[in-house]
Amino acid sequence: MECKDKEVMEKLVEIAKISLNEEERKTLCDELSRIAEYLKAVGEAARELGTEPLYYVWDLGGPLRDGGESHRVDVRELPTKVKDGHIAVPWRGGRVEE
Amino acid sequence: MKSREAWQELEKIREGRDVVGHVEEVLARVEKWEGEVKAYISLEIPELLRQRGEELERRLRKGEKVGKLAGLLVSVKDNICTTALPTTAGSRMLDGYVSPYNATVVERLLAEDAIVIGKTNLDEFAMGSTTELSAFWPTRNPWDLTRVPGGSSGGSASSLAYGGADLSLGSDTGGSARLPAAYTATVGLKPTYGLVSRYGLIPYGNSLEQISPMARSVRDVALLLEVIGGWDARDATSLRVGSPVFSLEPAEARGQKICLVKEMVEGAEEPVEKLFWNVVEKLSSEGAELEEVRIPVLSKALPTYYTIAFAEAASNLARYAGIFYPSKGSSGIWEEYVGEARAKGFGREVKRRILMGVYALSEGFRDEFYVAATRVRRAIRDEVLKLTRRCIIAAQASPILPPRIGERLDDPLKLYYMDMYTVVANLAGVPALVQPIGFSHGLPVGIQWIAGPLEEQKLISLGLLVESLTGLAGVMVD
Repeated sequence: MECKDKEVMEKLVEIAKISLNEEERKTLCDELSRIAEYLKAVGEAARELGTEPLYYVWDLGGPLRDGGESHRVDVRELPTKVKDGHIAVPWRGGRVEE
Repeated sequence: MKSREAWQELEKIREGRDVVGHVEEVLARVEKWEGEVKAYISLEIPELLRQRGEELERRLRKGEKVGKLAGLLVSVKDNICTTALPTTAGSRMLDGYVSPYNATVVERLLAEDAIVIGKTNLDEFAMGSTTELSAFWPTRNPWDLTRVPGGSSGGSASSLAYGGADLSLGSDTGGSARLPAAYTATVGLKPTYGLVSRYGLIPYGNSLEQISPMARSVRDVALLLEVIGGWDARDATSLRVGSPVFSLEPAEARGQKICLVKEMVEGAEEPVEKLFWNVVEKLSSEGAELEEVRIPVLSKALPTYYTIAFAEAASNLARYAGIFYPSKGSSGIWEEYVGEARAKGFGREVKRRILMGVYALSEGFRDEFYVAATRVRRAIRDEVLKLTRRCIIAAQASPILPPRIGERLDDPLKLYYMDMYTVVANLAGVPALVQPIGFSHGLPVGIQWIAGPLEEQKLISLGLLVESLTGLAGVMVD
């Protein structure tokens, strides 16, 4: 299998900030070409499905595919308490009343 | 083959059996098997374990109240933070790292008087399906030492399979607790996304992963999930639900609705298929209703999962820049320093996933890869939610028997293919349980059950019913 796009590979290495030696660079480039080829299936599938993106699995913003009623996430239902319009983030020193 | 369940040990301890004796018994199993299996990255000092046992014995003698897991030895996957032992995530990047805090799940174990025996091996940052990609050493399958135990929670599964722990915590991003369960005749339950706190889990794929209870029986998995489950203020994705409490009544086969999704049943090798159908037909003959279903979009689950997992991995692992964590660079030039620290600290699979993730998120490719995958994910999630409203899904756990060490390392796509049946539950956020159903040529085979959100009880009840049919609760090597 040939490395198809050396230029893209160089750019990826730069963004990812990982130093690679020549051999690693070549092997990884070949492997990435094969994996990218395999993952291309999602682009076609998404076009056919025409669905909205889902980033958080319990985001029920869009209607379910069986036409059930749509749900919205309400910030008041989130586990983190909201105080004065700000979300208290416990690990950054925000106080959460249990 | 032996059989030992954690709840039985617990009953013996409550009835007056000495805890130190139990600790010694487990340590003897470690002594016998660990040299070959290498399930642990770090083990607690035996003397400290004995002291902990003595302390519990004193409390029991005085009639003091003790926790739900008093005296049980729990192994913890090494991507879950503990203050008492180092947390490496199986990576040179974190070699020697000791977390300043315990993960919420570890705090909950300790609050219930469990004893953490050690930290188990995993594929680096949980990226793998065989536990061969640990930066330290591969873990072997106790049922056949020439074979892998599955991954990435292979250390946890192997520690259970040889009796080196009573219970174990794994994590499951795309099948990492369930695949090892299938390969080692143990039980792994990937909970509903948000049921178990991820606070203190070293992140890989945030939107997919859950810390997962692992054990030698369904009853033991339920016991562990009762302790670790429930809302945690420290995890913004944790669901606002209380600690679960499970009934331990097996389900009735009659009236049980089981859906056989073609895309999750077909394609496994012959010995795996045979055992799968044995169990399904047995349930049917006892009165369960079977329904065959097709969900074509599930044929895209594997590339969808990997695209999202790569993207999240690239983002999560950006924090390892040679500043806060052990792997450092030496150059005085910032760019070179970071590049060097990351090159030294990460193994090849991690580098591959970071680069693929950067690719999937880059301008010009993002819509075709990452965003497209999130669109397909919605379709998969919706189909699974719709189906699990009317039945439990029966699926294969793995397309193959446990492979030999090194057999699948030369081709990343061959490795990824091992997750083809398990990634669906992570994409949909729903709970899934894998349990043993038999052996083929001496190698364990598992089955997978998938239910709707927060329907862990259904999985446990069905799992108990299946155990009553197979007689495989508690099995471990001699």
